[in-house]
Amino acid sequence: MNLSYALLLVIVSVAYAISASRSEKLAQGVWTLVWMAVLAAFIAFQQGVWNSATAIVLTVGLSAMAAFPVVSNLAIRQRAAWALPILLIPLTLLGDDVSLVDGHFVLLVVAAFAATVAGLSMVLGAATLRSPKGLVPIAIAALAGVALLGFTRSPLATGFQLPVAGPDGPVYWELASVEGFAEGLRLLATTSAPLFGTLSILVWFLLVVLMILGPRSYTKVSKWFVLFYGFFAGNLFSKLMSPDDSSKLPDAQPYSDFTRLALQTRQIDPIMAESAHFLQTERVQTDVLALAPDFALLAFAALILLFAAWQRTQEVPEYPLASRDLFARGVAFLWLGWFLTMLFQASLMGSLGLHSPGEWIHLGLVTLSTALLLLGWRHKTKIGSHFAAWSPGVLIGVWLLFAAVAWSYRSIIGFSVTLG
Amino acid sequence: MKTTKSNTTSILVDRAWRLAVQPASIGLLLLVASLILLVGPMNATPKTTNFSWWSSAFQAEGMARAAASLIAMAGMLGLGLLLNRWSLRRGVTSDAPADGPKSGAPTQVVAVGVALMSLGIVGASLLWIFAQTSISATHVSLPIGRTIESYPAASGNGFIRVMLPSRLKIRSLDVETGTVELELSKVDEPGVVQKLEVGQPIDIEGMRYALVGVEFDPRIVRGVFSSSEPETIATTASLGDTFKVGIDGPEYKVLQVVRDYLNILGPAVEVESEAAGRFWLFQRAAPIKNFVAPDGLRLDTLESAPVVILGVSRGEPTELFGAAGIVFLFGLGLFLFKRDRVFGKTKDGEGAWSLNEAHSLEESS
Repeated sequence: MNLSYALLLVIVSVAYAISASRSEKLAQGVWTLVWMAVLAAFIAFQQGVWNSATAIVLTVGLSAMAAFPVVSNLAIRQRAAWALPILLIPLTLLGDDVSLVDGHFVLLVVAAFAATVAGLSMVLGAATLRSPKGLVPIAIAALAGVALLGFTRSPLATGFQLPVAGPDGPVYWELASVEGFAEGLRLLATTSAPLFGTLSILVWFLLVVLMILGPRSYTKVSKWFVLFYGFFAGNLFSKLMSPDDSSKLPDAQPYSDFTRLALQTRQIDPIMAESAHFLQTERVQTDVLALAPDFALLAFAALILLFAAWQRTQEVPEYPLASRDLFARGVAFLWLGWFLTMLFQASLMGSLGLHSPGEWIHLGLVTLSTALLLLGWRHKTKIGSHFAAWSPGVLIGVWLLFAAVAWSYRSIIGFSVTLG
Repeated sequence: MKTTKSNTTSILVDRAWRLAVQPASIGLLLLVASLILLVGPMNATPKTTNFSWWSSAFQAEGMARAAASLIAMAGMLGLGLLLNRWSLRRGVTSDAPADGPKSGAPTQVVAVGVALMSLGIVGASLLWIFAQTSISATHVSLPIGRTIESYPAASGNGFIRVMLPSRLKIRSLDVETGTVELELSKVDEPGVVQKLEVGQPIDIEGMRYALVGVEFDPRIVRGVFSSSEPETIATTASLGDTFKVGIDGPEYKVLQVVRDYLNILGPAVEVESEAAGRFWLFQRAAPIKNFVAPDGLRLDTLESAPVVILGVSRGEPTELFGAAGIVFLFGLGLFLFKRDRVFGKTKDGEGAWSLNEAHSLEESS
């Protein structure tokens, strides 16, 4: 039994304990436990203890937390909407390559982030109060986000790429500074993901989606089949990610060709490419830590689908008005997040940001949220009812997708920074 | 005849107004505006992977204007919608829930909140769109000691080099306190040194400079040099820099910095001086036997050089935006303050405006 397999098991059991438990006390207890574990991990991180244990606790905790719409009790769900942003503090600090000296600014960034995530959590809550069909776009967008991250990981290779790491962190192909090319070249080394494992995950997703959208009679028959197949896919996935003894260093030829081309375009003798090389060659494996965003998205998509499937079989009633209220609140918080981001820009730069694509898209997404809320406002009219049923899920999906796009540019929506 | 005509017109206007002042029509305007804001930059993605594209200025004046006018229109219709609802409310009995407020009076607090929030949102987004000047604000990455006279800024579809009023150089960086010393100089004039702290942008000669952050770019390395001769001190130098290890010693220029010479010999730096010509310095033992560098020069180590990120902009005022933000925050406070319906239901239940039904659900479950 390897690590990722165990992780998956823990995440699912924690989510199950919170969601399926009839006893509210137990659910609350597990929720508090996860909450404390994540807090402990965060404090450990603050104290400089950043190892695989804290990383695992964070991954499990955050994934379980991401499952919060599974909680049927609205009081807990609303509490979750507030708890989630605080949990993202460690994540915000994780990407802290551009060091900001003043603690005030770190707080501002966290507050802006928290408001946005609280808004999104409320929209997610709104989606769970409607038909389970409305949750499908979220899962599809999360899966598309994983694909996007994998396909854009390397500028050299096509197909889904996995990053590799050695004992000293990620492996880079590097050409150090030479005259006329001071910034040098630094490329992340990646290997292609096995096709079979990737496809089996995809098929599992499609099956669950079919089960949610298909005729109701289909649900009961396929329930067990889907669960077993998910187990099988999870097993394959963990094999895919498992560290093994053989070195996973990619073929150097494309990297060397790219280096030569980069030198030629700068009219430098391509012979300099001979000094470029992989910085680590010993004990190189798939970089599981760097895949954390992929894992988080996959786990999120899986949990959303499982919840939707559960909601379908249980025939949970819908609460259209409550859903709209939560949506409206979410939109208000998304705008608050935008204002806080701008406040951060204005106090740091003395101007209203750089007007970068990241900032355009932030304003665009918040405007889109308002638009979708208003289009579904009259939820008793014919068109309005469709909008009201689908829009919260579609909105979360669009946000997730753009977050993945931002991450593929090593950045975050709304902030004009490039992380390492 | 005349009266009938004006009557028809007024009915038409009335109908058009009623059709326009609907949540859905405002939503439609905002939907188009948001698509412009989202698709605009995504349409201009670079063909090759360029991580900095996402965080450097994007300019599309036409699209920005279109989005702004749509948002302004939506804002106006929104105001009309709220006013309409307000007048509709008169004469309609509120059937507030038993646990809710008995009369309609306090619920209007929430309506005022929504109105203020909308006002703040429309004002602020318009201000943001129009704050983009023809020459964009930019982050400039500057290694310590490098002098620049211009910086690249987005303008229209491309980049232009913007001349700075003075030559700019980072003299020193203090990471602990978050301050840098800027040296601004003109030809044939002594430089002026200006202290710059995080969060305190300064305006000099029409430009606004801000210390945005410090990066340790692993690709930008500098050598730490020392000498075995007496009366010398260790010093650091990056590619292209000149350095001295003794006060009266010769000057050396760094020509190349290689992290692992021929993949086996380790860190190496090629330097040049007038007296000794070009030669390589190695951190580990020299590959050439009996090679002694001039002046006992040694390469101690290679280290990542800090790069200062400066925010350079034209110094537009941000006070109005702040005012819009305060209006929004005030509205948000009113909106969250009361957990009530905004307006009561009309008799047939149509047009029920609820902004917090969730709490009654919570209590009933």
